[in-house]
Order: sequence, then C-alpha cells, then structure tokens
Amino acid sequence: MKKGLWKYLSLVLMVAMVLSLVACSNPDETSESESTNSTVEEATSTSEPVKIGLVAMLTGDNPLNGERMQQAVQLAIDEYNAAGGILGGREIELLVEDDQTLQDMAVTCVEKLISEEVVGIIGPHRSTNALAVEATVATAGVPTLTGGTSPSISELGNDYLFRIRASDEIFASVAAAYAVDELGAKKIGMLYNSDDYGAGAEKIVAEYCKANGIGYVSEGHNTGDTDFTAQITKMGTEGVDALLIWTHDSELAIHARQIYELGLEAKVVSSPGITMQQVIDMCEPEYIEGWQGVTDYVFTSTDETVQEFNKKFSEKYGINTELYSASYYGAALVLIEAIEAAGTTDRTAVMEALKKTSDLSAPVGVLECDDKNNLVHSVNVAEIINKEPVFIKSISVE
Amino acid sequence: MTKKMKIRIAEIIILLIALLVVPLFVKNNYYLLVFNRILINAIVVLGLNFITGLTGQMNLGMAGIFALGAYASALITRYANISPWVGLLLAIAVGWVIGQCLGYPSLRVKGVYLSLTTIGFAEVIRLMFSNLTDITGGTQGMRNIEPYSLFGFKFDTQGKMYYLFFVITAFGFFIAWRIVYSKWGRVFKSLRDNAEAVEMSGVDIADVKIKAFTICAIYGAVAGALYAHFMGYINPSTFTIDMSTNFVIMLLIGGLGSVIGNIFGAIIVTILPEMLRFLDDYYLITFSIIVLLGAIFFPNGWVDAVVRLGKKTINIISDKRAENGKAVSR
Amino acid sequence: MNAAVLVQLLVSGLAMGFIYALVGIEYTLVWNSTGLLNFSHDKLIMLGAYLFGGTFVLGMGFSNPLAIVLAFVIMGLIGVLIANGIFNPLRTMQSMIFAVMGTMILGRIIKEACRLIWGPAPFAISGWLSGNIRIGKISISNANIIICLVSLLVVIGLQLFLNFTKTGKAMRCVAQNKKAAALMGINVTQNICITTAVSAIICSIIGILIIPLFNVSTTMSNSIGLKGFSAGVIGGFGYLPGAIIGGIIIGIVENLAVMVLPAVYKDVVSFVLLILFLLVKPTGLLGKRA
Repeated sequence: MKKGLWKYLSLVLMVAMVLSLVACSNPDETSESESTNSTVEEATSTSEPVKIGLVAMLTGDNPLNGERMQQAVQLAIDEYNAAGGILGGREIELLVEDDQTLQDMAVTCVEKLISEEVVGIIGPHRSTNALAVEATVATAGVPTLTGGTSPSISELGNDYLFRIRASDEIFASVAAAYAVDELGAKKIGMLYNSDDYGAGAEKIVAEYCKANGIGYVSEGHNTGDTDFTAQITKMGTEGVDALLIWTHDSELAIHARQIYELGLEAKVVSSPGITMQQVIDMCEPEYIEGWQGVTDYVFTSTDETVQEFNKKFSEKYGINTELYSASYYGAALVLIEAIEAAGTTDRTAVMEALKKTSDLSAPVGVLECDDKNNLVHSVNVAEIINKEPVFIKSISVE
Repeated sequence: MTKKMKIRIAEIIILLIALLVVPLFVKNNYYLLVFNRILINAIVVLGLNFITGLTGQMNLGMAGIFALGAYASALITRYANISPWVGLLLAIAVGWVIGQCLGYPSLRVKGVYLSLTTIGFAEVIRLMFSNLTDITGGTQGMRNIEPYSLFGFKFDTQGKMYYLFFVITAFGFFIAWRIVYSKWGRVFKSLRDNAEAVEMSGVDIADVKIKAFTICAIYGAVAGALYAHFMGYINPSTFTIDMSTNFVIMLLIGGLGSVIGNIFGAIIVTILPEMLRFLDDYYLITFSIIVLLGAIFFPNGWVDAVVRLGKKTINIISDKRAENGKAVSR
Repeated sequence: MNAAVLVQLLVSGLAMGFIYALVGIEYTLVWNSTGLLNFSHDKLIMLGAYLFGGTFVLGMGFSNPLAIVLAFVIMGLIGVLIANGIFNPLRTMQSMIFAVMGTMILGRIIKEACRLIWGPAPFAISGWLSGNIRIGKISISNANIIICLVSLLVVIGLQLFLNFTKTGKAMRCVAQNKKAAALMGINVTQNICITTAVSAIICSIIGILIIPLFNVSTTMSNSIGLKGFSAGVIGGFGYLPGAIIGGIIIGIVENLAVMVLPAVYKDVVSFVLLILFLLVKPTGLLGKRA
C-alpha cells in the first residue's frame, strides 16, 4: 500500500508539472498566433525592449563554445544597455536557446525565436546547423549571423544569412600558403576531421597544393576518435615537412600529444583551435611549442580594440578571450549597430542595414559586408610560445 | 461491436478531428514545427513497437533505419530528378530489405546481443554516409531536398506539411492498430511472453520475427523519408545512438505494446524538453530525471499509469453504486 | 610501409586494446551478476575522471593516492545506488529493456550533471602519468604501459576474488543461476549491489588512467564505451579473460586496417567485426555459453 501511494504521489506531481507547463506556455500561444510571421509590426513605444535571439550549443558535445558565445553576446548587450539602449532609449533583451549542436534542434530554436519576435538571430555556430536553418530564416526574413565557416554558406545566395567569421576557404588557403611561403614546405601532410569543417578545408588545401605543384598527402579521422597513431605514422613515412591539422578541440589536443610522442619532425600549422586557452591547457608545453595557428583572433594582438575587449571580458568573466567570444561579440556589435542604423526593428530594414555595414571595428578586425554577406575578411597567424599564442601577423584577403 | 469499443472509436474520431483543425488555430510556426516532429517521431515509435514493444527484441538501431530511409528518398529525388513520392515508395522498399536483413540476425542472437548488433548496424550506416562523400555529400550533408507536392500543390510550409504528415501518421496508426489486434499481433506478443510455447504450437518463429522486423523497418524508413523532405537538409551527424535511444524512450514512456501509448510517448518526449526550456541550463537534466523516475515508478508507461489511476477512482465510485443497488442490477 | 611502422601500429593497437579490455571487464561483471548491460558505463568512466581530477586533485589539492582512494569510495557508493535504484527494481520486469533504458537515461543525467558541476571546459592534469618511452623508433605512452599492467592486475585480482572469497564464490553462483543461488540462501539483491559497486570502481580506474591520454571532458569516453562492448563480445561474453583477448584484437585490427583502408573507416572495421562475431560466433573466441 505504501509503495502504491508513492507511485500515485509522484504520478500526480508529474501530471501537475506537465499541466502547469501547458498553462504557462498557453498565453503566448494565443498572442503569437495572432501576429504575422513575416515582419514584426511593433508599436514604436520606447518602453518595449528590442529582442535579439541567440542559438548556442549550451549542452551536447561542445558546451564550452556555447557558453563563451553567450557570455560575449551578453557583454555587448550589457554595454549598450548601460549606455542608454538603442533606438532612442529602448533596452536590448537577449533570448538564448540551446541547440545541442543538432540540426533539427537548431531549426526548432530558430522557429521559437522567430515566434518570439526577435529582430535578429545570432548563431547557430556550426556550418551544418547554419545550413539546416538557412531556408527557415530566408522564408521568415530574419537576419541571422552565423559563425559557420563552410564555403558552401556563401554559395547559398541567402540575403538574410550573414557570416561573422572568415570562410574556411580563407583559413585553409592562408594556412597552406603560410606553410609553403614562410615555412618553406616542400611536401604538405594534412590531418583532418571527416566532418564538414575538416573535409571542407581538406578540399581547399588539396587544390592549392595541386595548383602550386606541392607534394600532398592527407588522412582523415572522425569526431570522437581518440587514437591517431596510424594517421600520424603515415605522415612520417610519407616524409612530409609541414603538417596541417584541421579538427576540433579535444581531437586537436590528442593530436598534439601523439605527434610529440611519435617524434614526427614537421612544422605544424593548425586550425584556429590551438590558439584557444582551453586547448593549450590540455597540452604539456613541449607538445605544442612552436606550433603555428591560423585563427580569427589572438588576444595577445597589440591592436587597441583587441586589448580593450580582452580587458573588459576578463574583468567580467575572469578568463582571457578566444575566437568564440571575440567572433560573437563582433556579431552582437554589428547586429545592434545595424538595428540602430536602420532606425527600426523591421527585420528587412535591419537586413539591408547589415548589408551596408562597413568599417566597423571589432575584436576580429574591421567588419565590412561584401556581396556574399561575409563580414570578416582577415585572419591572423599566431605561434605558440611557452603556452601562449603570440600574434605574428594579420593577413587580409579580398 | 461492444459498447466499449464504440466509445473507444468515438473517442478516436473526436481526437482526430481535434488534431486536424490544429493548424487553423495555431499559426505559430514553432508550434507547428514541434507538431511535425512529433508526427514523424510517432511513425518511428509505431514501428518500433512491433519489434521492441510486442516481440520484446531490443532494437537500438532505429537511427540507422531512419537514416537509410532519409538518404534513399533524398538521393533518388536528387539524382533521378523525380517526385519525392517515388522516394517514399523507395523508402518502403528499403525498409523491407532492411527488415529482411536485420530480421535474420534476430533469429540467431537475441536480447542484449541483438541490441549490440543493431547499435553496430546504425553506427556503420552513419559512418558510411559520413565518408562516402561522392554519393551523399558526406558530412556537408544534402541541401535543397524538394518538399512533397500533390497536383502542383506544394507542401512547403509547416502548416501544409502538418496536414500531410498527419494523414500519413493516421494511416500508419490504423495499420499498426489493425496489426496489433490481429492474429499477427497476438503471435508477436506471445513470442515475447513465451517463445518456446509458441514454437510448440506450430508457429514458425523465424517467419514471425522477420515479419515484425520488416514492419518496424518500413515504418522507420518511411519516417526517415518524411524527415528528409520536411527538413530540406540532412546530415549524417543527426543519426546518432542518442537518436535511437530517444525513440526507445518514447516507446517506454508510452508503454510497451500500446499503440495509443506510442503516440503519447512521441508527444511527451518531443514536447517536454521544449516546455522545460525555461529552466535554461537545467532543462535537459530535469527532463532526463523525470524520464528516469517515470521508467522506475511506471514501467508500463505513463498512459497506463494515468488509465489505472482513472480506473481506480471509477472502481471506487462504481463499487459504492453497486453496493447501493445490488439487487437492481442483476 | 616498413617494419618499424608496423611495429608501432601493433604497439599502439595493443595499448588501445588494453583500454577496451578494461571496459570489457567492467561491464562483463555487471552482465554476469544481473544479466543486464550497463549502458551508462562510459559516463561512469567520465564521472570517475571528473571526481578524481576535478574535485580531489585540482579542486581540493589532495595528493594523487588519496584522491584515487576517495574517487574509489564515491564511485563504489554510486555503484550501490545504481544497483538499488535501477538494477534491483527493474531486473525482474518482463523485458530487459526497462533496466537497460534506465542505465541509458542515467548516462545522460551524469553527462549533464558533470557539465553543471564542473563546468563545460575540458581540462588536463599536468604531470599525471604523462610522458612516454621510446625504444628505437617505437614510442609508447607511460599511461598505456600502466594501463596494460593495471588491467592484468585487475583480471588476476578479480579471478582470485571470485575463486577464493565467499562473496566472490557467491557472485559466481549468481552469475550461473540466479534462482538456484537464491534458493541456496545467497542474497541476490545484495550480490548485485557488490558487483555493481566493483564495476563502478573499475570504471573510475579506467577514467583516472585515461586522463593523460584523452584529457577530462564530457565526451572523453564516448568511443571506448561502445568498443568495450565489442571487446567483450569478441573475446567471449561473460568470460573475464576473454575481454582482454577481445580488446587486444579490436585494438590491433582497427589500427592495421588503416594500412588497407582510409583511416576514417577505422570505427567501421571494429563495428563490422562486432556484427560478424555476433552472427557467426556469438559465444566469442573463448566463451562457453550461448
């Protein structure tokens, strides 16, 4: 009898919980169903906050990157609000949704934010997720700023999808050119993640090497792999003198250890991950000493905007900035400035204002929108010296 | 037809009508999108019910079947440049083939071995789609998958797709319903309860198992095909073990073997995390804890728990009535 | 492809193989006593690493041996909790799906809990078992050598425990026939508690040992979890030394496969191997029962 009582008690609790949730979500269902989805027709009252949406990967396999995105966007919004808001004193409100780095969840999040009448959306980060939500944001006409770096994003011709990081085309070709021109590589080996990110870069490097008559070998791995001995050993037997590594954070850290332990003598140019504190922290100093990384952002750059941003961010959150925080801080800046420039919360007007963005200085460089909606056109090269990414140079690409 | 059945059918018809008019009142794309996801999930769970719910074979590779259906339909629509409806037919064919192939191992291995085989199968499918870049576009995924259209009418918005998916899910529901309460369904169930006894009574166990697996795979592949044309973009990284697990959780919450439970399972598992989103950082863990507690305290599913609670109250009331008018009733 | 490369691939395969073997041992124990699979085992491995690294070493600054002991104690308690919360109530249900799904959902809870408690940032423990040994051109991590030794010790220890202690003998009885064991006066419920606790402790051993190889993150044990299952199946389901053989076979085969196939198909090879074994020889190489 006691056991049965327990059962029903928890059942009743559960049902009550679900019902209260239904009740909670009902009021906005009715209010939202009345408004149209294409444009936001708000009263221009100064009291109503301007809503901005953020789709970030707060759970799932890359929760840290999502947290940095959220922190950076929040920082930018807090600054504007402290300075009196935008559009003549209206506050900015941030709505955050978690997409778990899954495509169908990303679409769900975007639809949810659209129904909550956001003016613009920041994220989702991964290219695959950006490709998944692309059609939705185009139909709804919501300006969306993604950090997806896949070259296919700029081929979409989607007016509403903007990109706040340089394309992989730029990253990978700069990395290959740097290995050949500056490091004097005669034969390039590439270790890449078989997902969209790594495989896209591999294609570009392969083309570069073919065009320039440089020897080239490549080997892939899957996300979540933990042993790369086979791939690295193959690079050794092929006798490569420069190694390009294109993968995500945890795989990169394991690569660093195994390349050191297997004693592969090659200069390494890596994907942006290596310049991030969380990856460096996972490596012993000798693993990555002298590695070069092509990245959006190095916090040790002498650039004033970078220094100021790093100071603000580390004061608030107690950590140094990296590419996620810098990129998405820039995204928030450019979106808010566009809303201000458009002078309205009309989504189409904001999209057009975003297209006119030029000469806006952000931590990741000067933002300027080109005809393919790319906002960033420069990348940095950094070298890891004593566990710190040291800024070497910035390369602008047309 | 008994009175009880009549009441049940009336209930179902009312439910159908209520669901059919949903898009007239809900104009919000977010809700419609969630409804569409529920409908697709429901088809998968209806299929999974045959193998895991009725015959008790644990299939943890539903994501692989789903992916095969999605890619089969998307690829044939793309390369042969034909209607997605043909893709749907192909998905049914693919489902049939998978069912025959996966059914075979279920003759040799069962229980936990079978769940490992199906996990391995799903992982192999996912990795093949990721790395056969020339055919599937690899991890870049396939974009611009055409939506369904009928006589020039395109199902291209969430609202229109809702009707389409609703009709297909309702169709799938009735077929599942008919099978579960037919001779086949009873054989499936008896296989779970006592396989030896079934064999003794002259039933060909091998045939029955393969039948169950085939029905399951056809449902999974059809749902996959719908998903491909619903999302317009597919990528192998979606079809993970997590996805397979989710389908089994839906089945479990709805209650093993119950066709109506399947639908409720799909609804609860799809909607609950969305409702819990207001908990921010804690929404996923809260969802998982609720599900775990549900699995421990109501192993027969939430629907069953609610029904039994209802019955108990009805019993108490009717007992009292019976006491009052014993002589009158009989 | 010269001899040194071949040897290197063999050595690395062997090293990975012992990790799979330990995973195989840990879940075989639970399988033997409950007839169920613990699908949260990869998350328990991760939890062990987080407890040791995140809380005791980096958080409280304890010395390594003390941290290890504390991690064992807590993981053992968690094992008892799992046994009493999931295995014991659900193992008598009509289908094993209830208990298995229970552990799967538990795995998700542990993953989210780790993210919420220790934060989303992955981390390493500087100096813990780091370094490597080079013999000629062949390199092997210190951590790998220790893993090989520990897995041998664990197997020997478990065999002694199972054959020469009263609790161990009871565990073997339960593994063979739960009903008969119960009739003979063995407390099956308590037995499952002990087994699950031991298994959870082995999980934390794995977690602690792989920190120098994979670092500590919420995804650190995803791939070894599944491959541990393969190891157990190939070696012989329910037979402890079989797990070691199975682990080594998987480790070596998937590494050597790279010589003929593109490296991205490494995982495919081990899963195909798993399916083949399940279909052709479900008892595995050394297993006895069907």
